[in-house]
Amino acid sequence: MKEKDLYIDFKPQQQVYYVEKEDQSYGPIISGSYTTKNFLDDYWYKKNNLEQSLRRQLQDEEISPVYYYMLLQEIGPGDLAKRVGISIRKLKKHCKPQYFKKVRLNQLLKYAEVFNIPFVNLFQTFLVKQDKKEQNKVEQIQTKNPYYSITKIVAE
Amino acid sequence: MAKEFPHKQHAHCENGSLCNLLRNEGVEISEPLVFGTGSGIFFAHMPFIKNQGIPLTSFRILPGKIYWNATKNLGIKMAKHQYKNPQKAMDELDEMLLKGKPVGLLTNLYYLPYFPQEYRFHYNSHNTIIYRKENGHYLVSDPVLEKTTTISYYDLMKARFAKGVLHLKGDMYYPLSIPEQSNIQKAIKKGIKTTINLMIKNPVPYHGITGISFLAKKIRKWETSLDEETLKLFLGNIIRMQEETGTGGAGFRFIYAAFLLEAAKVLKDDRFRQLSENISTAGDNWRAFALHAAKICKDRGNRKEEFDYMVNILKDIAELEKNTYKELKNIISK
Repeated sequence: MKEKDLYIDFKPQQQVYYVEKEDQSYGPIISGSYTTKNFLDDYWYKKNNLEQSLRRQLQDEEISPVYYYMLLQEIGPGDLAKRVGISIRKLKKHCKPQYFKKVRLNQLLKYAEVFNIPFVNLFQTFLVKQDKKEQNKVEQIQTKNPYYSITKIVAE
Repeated sequence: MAKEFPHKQHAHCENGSLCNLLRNEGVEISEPLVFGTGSGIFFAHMPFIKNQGIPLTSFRILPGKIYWNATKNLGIKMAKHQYKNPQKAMDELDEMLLKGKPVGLLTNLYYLPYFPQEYRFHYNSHNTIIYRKENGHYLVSDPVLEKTTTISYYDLMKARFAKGVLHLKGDMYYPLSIPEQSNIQKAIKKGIKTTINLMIKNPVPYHGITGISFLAKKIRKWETSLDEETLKLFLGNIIRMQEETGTGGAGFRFIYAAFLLEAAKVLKDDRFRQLSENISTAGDNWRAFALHAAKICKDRGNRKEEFDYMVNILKDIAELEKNTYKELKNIISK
C-alpha cells in the first residue's frame, strides 16, 4: 500500500505501519488507524450499551459482580478460572448472585486482583455525571491493607 | 552518566523488543528482517478454540516463536530466565539493571498502567524492555510506544506474574553474545523455508493457505447461521486481529513485503522484488476485506454484496499467497 493511501490523521492511537514510499522502497510510517478512526465510535457505543445492560442486571440481582467484570474485561471463563485458581464449574457458580453471597473474602480478593480493581469495587460503581466528567474525577488509592482503599473525589 | 537507551517505536512488540535490545548492543537490524528471519507470517482460523465465545483467528505464529526463530537463525545467543518466586524475579531484574544491562520482559498488557485503560486487554505475552531504575521506578522502553515511560515496582511485578492462558513466570531475556559477522543470507533462507512449511505444507486444515480458504467457507456459512450480534462480534474480532494488534497493517503482510525487499537486496536477487509486490497486493486485499467486514459491523452497504465480496476476496488472497510461497520455494530450493 502506498504511503498517501494509508496515512490517517488520528492522534489518539498512533501505530507503526509499513508502506510503499515515493522512492519505491518499503518502510515504516507512524499513522493513525483507519478502522479505529472510523469505527471506534461504534465500538464505544456497543461497549457502553453492554456496560449499562450489565449494570441493570447487576442491580436487579440477575448476575454477580464476577460476571459483570468478566464480560466487561473480555476474559473467558476458562482463562478467569485459571487466573483465580479455581475450577470452571466453581467460577460459573460465582457468576450467579445466589452463590456469590457465599464466596469467601480471600477468594473475592483474588478476583479483585485479576480484574485490577480495588476490592470495594466488587460492591459498588462510581458514576460521574456526563456533563461534569471533566471537572470531577474519582481517584481510588489502594492502601497496604488489600481490603481497604480510600476514594477521593477530585473537583477541579 | 548512564547511557541513554536507544528507544524506537515499532509495529509489533516481539520484533520491536529484540530490535531495540540489539540496537543497544550496537547492532542495527530492521523490524522486517527480525520478522522474516523469525518466520512470523502465518494464518490460522480455529473455530474450536474460543475466547468469550469468539473463534481464534491469528495472522502470526505462536507468541515467543518469532524471537526464538530469529535469534536462532541469526546466531544470537540469548539468556532466558523464568521464576517461581516474584520477589526473586524482581531482585534479579534489579541486579541486571545495576550492571547496566537492559532486559526484555514478558508481561500482561492489561496490568501496564502506561497504556490507556480503553486499549488494554488481558494478553499474557506483551514484550517490553526495562532499561534502568530511578527513584524506585522502572524506566520502560515499550516498543509499541512513541516515547519511553515509567512503571512502579508493584505494577511491574503484577504484570510479570499474571496467570491464565500462557501464564507468566516472570520471563526475562537479554542478549548474551552476538556474532561479529552474522550470516544474514543463511538466516533469511532459513526463515523463508519455515514460512513456506507453515503456509503451504501445513497439514492442519485451519492453518496457512488452507486456513484462509477455510475462513472463506466459514464466512459464507455465517451469513445465514449466525444471529446479528454474534456475526458482528466474529467479524469485529478478525478486523481487530488483522489491523489493531501491532501487525504493521493487513495482518503482517506489509511487514513481510518489506522483508522480501530486504531479502532481494541482501541476496542480490531481483525475483524477491516481484514476490514482495505480490505480498503487498495480498495485504491490500486483506485491508479491503477488513473494510467490507467493518461495513457489515456498522450496518452499511448491501449485505449480500458485502458477503460475496468478502468470500471472493479471501479466495483471491489464498490463491495469490499460495502462488507467491510456491515461487519462493522454487527460488530458495535452487
